[in-house]
Parts: sequence; structure tokens; C-alpha cells
Amino acid sequence: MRAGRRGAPGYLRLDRSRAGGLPAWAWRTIIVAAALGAVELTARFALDGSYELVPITTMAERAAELLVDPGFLTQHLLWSSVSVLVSFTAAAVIGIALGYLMHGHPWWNRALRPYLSVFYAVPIFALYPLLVVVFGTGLMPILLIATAFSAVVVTTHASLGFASVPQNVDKLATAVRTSRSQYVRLVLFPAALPDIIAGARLGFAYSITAVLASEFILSTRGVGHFISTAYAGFMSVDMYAGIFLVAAFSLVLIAVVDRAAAHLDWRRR
Amino acid sequence: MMNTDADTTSRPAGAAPPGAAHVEATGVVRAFGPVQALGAVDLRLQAGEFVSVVGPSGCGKSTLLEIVGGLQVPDAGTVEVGGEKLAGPRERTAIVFQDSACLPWRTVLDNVAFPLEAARVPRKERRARAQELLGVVGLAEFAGHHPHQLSGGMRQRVAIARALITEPDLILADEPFGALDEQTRILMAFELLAVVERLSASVLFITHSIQEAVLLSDRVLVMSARPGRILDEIVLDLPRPRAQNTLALPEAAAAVDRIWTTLRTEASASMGVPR
Repeated sequence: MRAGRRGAPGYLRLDRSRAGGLPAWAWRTIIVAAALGAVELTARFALDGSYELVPITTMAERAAELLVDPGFLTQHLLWSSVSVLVSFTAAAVIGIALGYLMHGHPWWNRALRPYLSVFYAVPIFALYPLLVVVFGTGLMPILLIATAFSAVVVTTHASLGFASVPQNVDKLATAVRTSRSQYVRLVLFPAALPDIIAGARLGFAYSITAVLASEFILSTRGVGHFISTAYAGFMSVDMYAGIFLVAAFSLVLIAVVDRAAAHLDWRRR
Repeated sequence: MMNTDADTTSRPAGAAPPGAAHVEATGVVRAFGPVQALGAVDLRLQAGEFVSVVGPSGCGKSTLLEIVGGLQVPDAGTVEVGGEKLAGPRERTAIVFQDSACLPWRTVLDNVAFPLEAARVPRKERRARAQELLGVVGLAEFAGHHPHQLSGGMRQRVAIARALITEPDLILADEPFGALDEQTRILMAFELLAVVERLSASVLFITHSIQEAVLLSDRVLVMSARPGRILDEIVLDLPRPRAQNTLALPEAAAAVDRIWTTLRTEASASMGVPR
């Protein structure tokens, strides 16, 4: 039975979504619940109220309080959310444009490829104090760092996607006399879309990481700053509540992006 | 509307009359850097004629086909199709590639309709014509599927339906059944033959299979090892409609033997084996 399922052609549409009798979402829930339960039990019974780890229920309780605290919402959560949204949007636009340039113009590809290859080996956060000196402690240095950090992964994926059009599909498009705009709309972008989506998903995660990390270093606002201040002041409950909120928001947002992307990504059909 | 009924005498508007030179390539030469792919090749294809080209690997068969299709420009020589000098891909030339070249993000129906979308035919009209052609190639019930959900043979039928949707007067097929198993290959070959006979289209058919070439063609051209030149031309006066037992006829067997005799020497040369 199993061997038959594995070798069956796609047009038979067999249900491959279950493992061990359970659907994928059930396994996801079980794994997350087990991990959270382990943290809860360790904090409550093994560490017994230390500063090192607080129970999940305490984190969630404090996180709920923070969510109705106007000061936290405006000073930290909204600030970080705007930073992530703006930097991610800028990174997506810049990344796709650069990927397209690299695909269409070999000169751009040769010029940019070495920098893209070594970019993540450069400690870009070390530049943050320098940017603060130039732009002050406002939004600009954070946006620059986060955009640069996430645009590279979008660019890399987009250029790979644009280069993934099969040679015969290119020839077919020429043979049926597509115009340049038709080629871009009907062939190039649809072919590259799964890679662009993969790059954008990573870029989104990188934007969150970069914004929070920048706020950690030298900022006066944002969730990163809130967590950093709580850590420095031994306020473990606030620190873990901040981390809990960031994790929860990131998971929900990435799940939403993932669900939306699944409709567009033809390789996942 | 495409002429898909059994009337083999009617011709699509604008098609050259039978017997007229539909494709005329003269002294076509093509090189890729230091590699001379094609020597001076002369090729003449009459309207409604089915011509196969066989030759050793790398002899420039596909290059010749792409030049006739307007996908490549020859370094020397001229190509005329339908009495006009070729200056790029023509609207009524269709190309069928070896790997089907289906667009994986599109449904089967939208793949077939793709050439009409490029020609800016209204959506409703192009989808209706695509659905009709899917019926002709026996894939009507798979219109909403995606290419990865089809077998190799089914995908190739999609490619044939896509090639026919513009009502071509010239079909260029580059080893279209090369990746298929033997039985699917034979069935597909007869399917193609039936459809092009209904359309009265001219066909330039590239293949590695001598039997396939003899079974389908009015003429077979044998190419030399690189740089490719036409070494031999075999005119096949075999009865139509063709069937699998056509190959058992003495004339067909003699043609297979003659092609192989010529080809063996060239294939050995291309592999570096002494003649």
C-alpha cells in the first residue's frame, strides 16, 4: 500500500497529508505544546522561581498585560512593527529590482555577485553605531540596517528565480512571438515567483531580526529596546514577556505570509 | 476555426498550394564560436509535405530547425517560408520541443492557449479553442490539471495541441517523442500524423529514430556528422494512411537499410570511431 502510494502518478491525487494517522497541523500542535509544556515544568519545578527562566503561563500573562498597556503599544510595539514593515517593503522592492537587473544585464550580475556571496560574513550590526552618529537614534539607522540585511536574501533568491526559466520555455516564448512585457508578465515573473516568495519569506524574518537586534544595541524605543532594558534590570518576567510577544507575532505573521504564498507558489501544488 | 474534420482536401486560408515550395533554405551556414555546426545546407519543403531529418548527435539538426523557425539567424544563406524571406518567428509556424516545454505554473488549458494569449486573442475565444484542441488530443478531462500531474506522453500531447492552436501551415518538431517509451512513441507519432494530415500542414521532423522517420515521412534527409550537410535524400512512396505494418513493406525496409548504411559511417565519425 505504502509503496503504491509513493510511486503513484500525481493525477491520481492521493492524500499524502497524513503521517502516523494524524494531519500535519496536529503534529505541529503536539510538538509546540510539548516544547511549551517542558519549559513550563522546568521553570516551575526544576528551577523554582529563579531569574533564569519563568513559566510560559507567567510570560503569557505579562504579555497580555503589555498588549493593553498604551505606553508599551505606542513606544515599543508600534515602533518596531513600523520598522519591520517599512524595511521589509523596501528590501522586497530593492531585492526584486536588483535580481531583475542581475538577470537581464550580465554586467550587474558580475558586479554584484561577489558582494552578495560575502555579505552575510560581514558583521553589519557593527556599523549601527556609525549610522547612529550620522543619522541620530531615530528610525533611519534601524531602517537602513534592516533593509540592507534583508534585501540581500531577496536579491539572491530573485536572481536565481529569474535565471530558472527553462531554455525550451524561453524558446517557446520567442517562437510564439511574445513581446518583452508579455515575456516578463507571462513567463519570467511566474517562473521566478516561487524563488521570490522564498526570498521574501526569509527577508521578512531577517527584517524582524535586524530591527530587534538594532533596537537592542542603541535605541530608545522598540520591543528590542524593551527586552534589552528588562534584561539589564533583572526584570526577567518583562524580558520573557517581550520575547514571548515577538515569537508569537513573528510566528503568526510568517504563518499568514506562508498561507498567502502557498496560493502563488506553483512548485508547492 | 481549425479544420479538424476528416476533409483532407480543404486547406487553411493563406497556405501554399500542394507541391509549391513552402520552405526554401539555401546555403545555410551556422557556427558557434570556433565550432562549425552547419555546413552549407540546402533544404526544400513542399506545402503539405512531411520531411524528416536524421543524423548523428551534434550534427546540427536542431540548429537547422531553429533557423527555419526563426529562432536563430544563419551566418550565411537565406531562408524563405511561404514565399517570404524569414526575418524571425512566424505566426503560422509552430514548434514542438523534445521536453514539451509546458509552463508548469499554468493549467493544461492555459498552456494550450498560450500562443493565442501572446497573439492577444480574447480570453473567452482562446480558451474555447484550447478546450476544443484538448478534445482532439484526448485530454479534455485534464484541462484543469497542471503539467506535473500528467505523464510524459500526456504532456507531449499538450505540446502538440499548443502547436496546433494557431492553425499552423508549418510544424517544426524537434525530437518530440524522444523522451517517450516505445509504445507511447508509436501511438503519439500516428496521432501527430493524423492531425497534420487534417491540417495539411508541412512538417519538418527531427528524429534519431530511422524507423520513425520512414514510418511518418514523405522524404527523409540524412545529415552528415558536424558540420552538418545533407548527405542523402530518400523519397518514400509508401501508401497512406500509414500503419505500424508499413515498416514491413519491402520499400520501407530498403529505405531503413539505406538510411542506416549512410548514417552508420557518419555516426562512427561523430563518435571518433574509424570508418
